[in-house]
Amino acid sequence: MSSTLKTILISIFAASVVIGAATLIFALNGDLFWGGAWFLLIASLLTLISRRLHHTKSRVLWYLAAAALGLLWLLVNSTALRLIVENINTNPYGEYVIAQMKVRLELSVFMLKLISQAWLTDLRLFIVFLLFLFNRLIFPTLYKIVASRLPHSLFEFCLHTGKTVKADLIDYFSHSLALILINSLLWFLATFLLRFDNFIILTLIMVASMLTPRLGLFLTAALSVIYVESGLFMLQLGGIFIAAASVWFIDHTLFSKQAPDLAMRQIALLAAAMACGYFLFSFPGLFAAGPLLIISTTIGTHASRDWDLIHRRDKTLLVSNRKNSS
Amino acid sequence: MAAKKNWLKILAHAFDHQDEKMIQSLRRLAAFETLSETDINALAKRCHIRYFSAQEEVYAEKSPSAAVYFIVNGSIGLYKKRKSQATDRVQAVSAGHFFGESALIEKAVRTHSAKALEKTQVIVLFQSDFAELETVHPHLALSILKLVAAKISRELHIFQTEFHELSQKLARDQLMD
Repeated sequence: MSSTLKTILISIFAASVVIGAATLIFALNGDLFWGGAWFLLIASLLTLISRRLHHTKSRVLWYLAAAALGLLWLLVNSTALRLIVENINTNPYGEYVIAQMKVRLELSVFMLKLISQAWLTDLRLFIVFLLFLFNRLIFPTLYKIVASRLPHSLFEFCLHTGKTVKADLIDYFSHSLALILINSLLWFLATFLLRFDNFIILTLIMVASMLTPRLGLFLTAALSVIYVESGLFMLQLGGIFIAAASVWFIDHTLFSKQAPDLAMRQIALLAAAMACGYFLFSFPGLFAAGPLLIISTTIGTHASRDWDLIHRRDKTLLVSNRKNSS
Repeated sequence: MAAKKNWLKILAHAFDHQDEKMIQSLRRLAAFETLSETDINALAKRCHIRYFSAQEEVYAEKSPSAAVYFIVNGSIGLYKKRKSQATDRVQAVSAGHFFGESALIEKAVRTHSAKALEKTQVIVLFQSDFAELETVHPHLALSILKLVAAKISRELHIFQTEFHELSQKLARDQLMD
């Protein structure tokens, strides 16, 4: 089997597992699903901060950053949620957008509803806290016990692939989060200051598109071209420059991973994934397609590359490895 | 119910002794004798213990380099395939030493295979865990890299000496002819 075919098959399998697991958790308990999503988000943000701070060797700064996050949540939580819920029941867009295509309204209402439904409630915060405790105290030992039970033929493959995938995904999530934070803040400020009619739609689309690092810039540029019809060309032009500057800044100064050729190759893949996601799951599929594509292709690429780590199976292996956990 | 209780007991026991066992094993290695307690703990968190029976394969030739192995007990043979498909043992690595260190330096394929010569206990450190050490505990990563550099330097010295002796012997043989 060729390595490309192997990558595609593993990626499809990984995407099915991720979708299946997410659907199952959501069906079991909605709060558990959103709590898990918030956990990933906060853990990525903390990883990003801790990576910047480890050189200082000061734990105080790390705790201060965590406390600042908590304070931010307290400040933003009730005010912003109330504002969003009020916006659903009123008309936050102005007369211009009302006259526009139906899909824009549906999309913006969907995004607002999604945010209000996914909001970090007290129960979800408690779930996040429990997940952090589990991740810190129980998971490392549990992981080692499970790893020690693996047969030699799979040990290197499972652990090496798992660890490299985990490192890449942490990098991806923290990278995306930095892009989302900076870009959405800049866009929100720009649109709010200029009282742009459909700023909420644009900001939310911007946030969603930023979930795919390096592609956000292209998507934003495309969206800006579409919105030129609104007559506010200068604002869109300004938005492109703001987005370009922030993406450039992050890629060059913080991550040093600027790869336009990669973005050009992936844009077709992302478009296909978004189309599939839209037809299968409507709007949620449209926004989950980017991250899901990155997760599944990361798993597929690493697993295919490390496939040769699976070596000769020996029935004595399982016997000898039982000693690991004794 | 009894089976469930027993399972929980095993799990609790495993939790209590997992790190302790790893730290003890690391302390037994001469390479890590000088490390501080903080460094040993940081390393223990990222390592795995494996047991191999005699003739069990640790890794295959031409497989991707994924991890470095430190031998706690026993010994490991390193083998290389010839063009004729016959396999030669190129080196035997004993307890206290390590092998597969290329995984820490480059993302390449293994140039040899490794097999246990007897019942062997090893400690495994994966490439990605080492990369994490480089950012979180750089001095510890540097200590490990120094070990690798010392080993390569030692092996290079042996190779140069043997090569010199061999070339001298060849020259003598040619003179005799």
